[in-house]
Amino acid sequence: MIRFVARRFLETIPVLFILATVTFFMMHLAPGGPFSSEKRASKEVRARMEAHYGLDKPLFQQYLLQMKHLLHGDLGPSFKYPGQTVNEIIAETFPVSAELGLEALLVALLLGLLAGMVAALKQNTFWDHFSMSLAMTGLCLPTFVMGPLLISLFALHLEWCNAEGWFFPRDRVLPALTLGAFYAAYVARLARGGLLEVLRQDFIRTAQAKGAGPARILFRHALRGGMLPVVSFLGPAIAGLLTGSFVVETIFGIPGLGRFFVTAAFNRDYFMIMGAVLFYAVFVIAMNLVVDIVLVWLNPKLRFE
Amino acid sequence: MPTPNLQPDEKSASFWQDAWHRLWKNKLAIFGLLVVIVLSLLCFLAAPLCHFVIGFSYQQQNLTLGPVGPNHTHWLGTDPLGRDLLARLLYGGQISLMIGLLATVVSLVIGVTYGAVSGFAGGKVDMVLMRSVDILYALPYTIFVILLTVFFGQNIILLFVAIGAVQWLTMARIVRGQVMAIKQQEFVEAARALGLRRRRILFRHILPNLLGPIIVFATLTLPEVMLLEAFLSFLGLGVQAPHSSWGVLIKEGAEMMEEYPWLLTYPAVAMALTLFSLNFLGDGLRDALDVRGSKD
Repeated sequence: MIRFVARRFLETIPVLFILATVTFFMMHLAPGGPFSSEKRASKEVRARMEAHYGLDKPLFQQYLLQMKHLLHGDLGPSFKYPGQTVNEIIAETFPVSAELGLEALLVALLLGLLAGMVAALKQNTFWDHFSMSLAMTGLCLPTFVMGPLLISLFALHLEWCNAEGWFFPRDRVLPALTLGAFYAAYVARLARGGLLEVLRQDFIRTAQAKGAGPARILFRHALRGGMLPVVSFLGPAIAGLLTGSFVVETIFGIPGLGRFFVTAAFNRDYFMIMGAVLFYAVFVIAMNLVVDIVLVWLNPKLRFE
Repeated sequence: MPTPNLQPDEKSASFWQDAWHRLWKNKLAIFGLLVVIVLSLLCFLAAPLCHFVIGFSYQQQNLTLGPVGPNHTHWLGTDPLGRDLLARLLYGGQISLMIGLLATVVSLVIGVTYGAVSGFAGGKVDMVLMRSVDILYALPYTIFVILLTVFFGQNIILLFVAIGAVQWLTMARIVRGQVMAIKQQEFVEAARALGLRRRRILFRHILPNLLGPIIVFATLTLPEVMLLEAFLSFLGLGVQAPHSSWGVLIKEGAEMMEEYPWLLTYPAVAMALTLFSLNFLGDGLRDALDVRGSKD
């Protein structure tokens, strides 16, 4: 087990290196630069700004320089927010996104697992069709429709909470629902599929024959195997949830990390792009590792492979 | 629908006939298929429909009229520029569906080729190719879609290609897994014993067996791509005016939801209905063709 984890850690290093390289050349190849949109800046000013950030050096030299900084954990300054480093921006905004992400995850797991279990246990009944139709709606409505709809219903008409802002505990409800809905729908479908697969197997019939009740069969026998697809999905899903969502943060005015994934690319904010890419990648890789460990724990068959 | 064989001396139903019978029993999937066909026909006949039935073109403005709700002349109402929403919906659907199809085909071609080569070659080649896919999975795709659109400009066609180019990863994984399973089977060994070349074995003998999973995942990729198009429209990177797509219409509608709710309702319903149908059809096809995969 320890050897497995250690090997995965070592494998991460070349992966991050390749990612950084691909990202570096991709963003520098993209037309335009970080200062090309500032119309008022004269040629001299722009040249001096580029010199200040080392953007006038040959590309390969810039590459080596950035790699050196990255090795020291220094993500560099942000062009768009002068005076702030990318490290500071991430440190400031990530906790917000992480909190929202965890709340959305809670929504996704509560709603998704509940709907999935009901659908699997009552397969081909009204409840199955009902919860699966709900899940399909969650998959088919774009987030930027779901958000305004929820705002219009709960904030403007019922006035239960604020339409925007991130100050009170109540402000968390609508964003978490909006963000969590899509994931809840996915979890519901995966949980249903996984549980149906397990409920078909012989050991469930054995448990039934021994007189175990439906609740005991579900929680003691079926859940462990039935959760495998959900767990595999949750790895990348959690990484995506915790690093923030541009749409949800824009709609609800939340000062999170997600919007930087979009604005950095638009502004050609080179160091911010690199920081966002690497931060996200570390998350995905770490979550995939956790998922692999959990999968082995849930499914003893994998231990021999 | 193929007529069922009743004469005993004829050969039994083929795999595809069986699959069709199973699909036919799944009412939701058939409903989805019908909706997709009807909607596509309506959207691709947008030009004649606008001319003869609706009476307005999608870009014909009427500023004195402004935004009005659904009525006898404008069945689904008009937008703030007085343009007929139904006409815009049909034209937008044409573009949305085309984006979906093109991007799906692109992701299919890349994903199937990549996965098939990886699975068939095995060994070191397979390891390198699949590790690259893992690496690409770790990229936040929003950043790359934006950079790609910057590369390609606002050209619609290239935008589809760019979207397809970031959607092929799951397809590659699925196809690889299937190829690895199939290449162990006897008929592949027989083909090899006959001295066929590797390329011929892969494309003539292995890939046709993957048609089922490929069709299923293409059906399920289409809605994903359409959602991605909507997301790009939200960012303002979608189709540019005077053209529109469902994504653009939904985005504009969401902005004016309180004042002119119909501008959000109809495009959102059109898109949701299409995605619903495609997903139901995909699920039905999966059951009918008995495809196992990573999705659920």
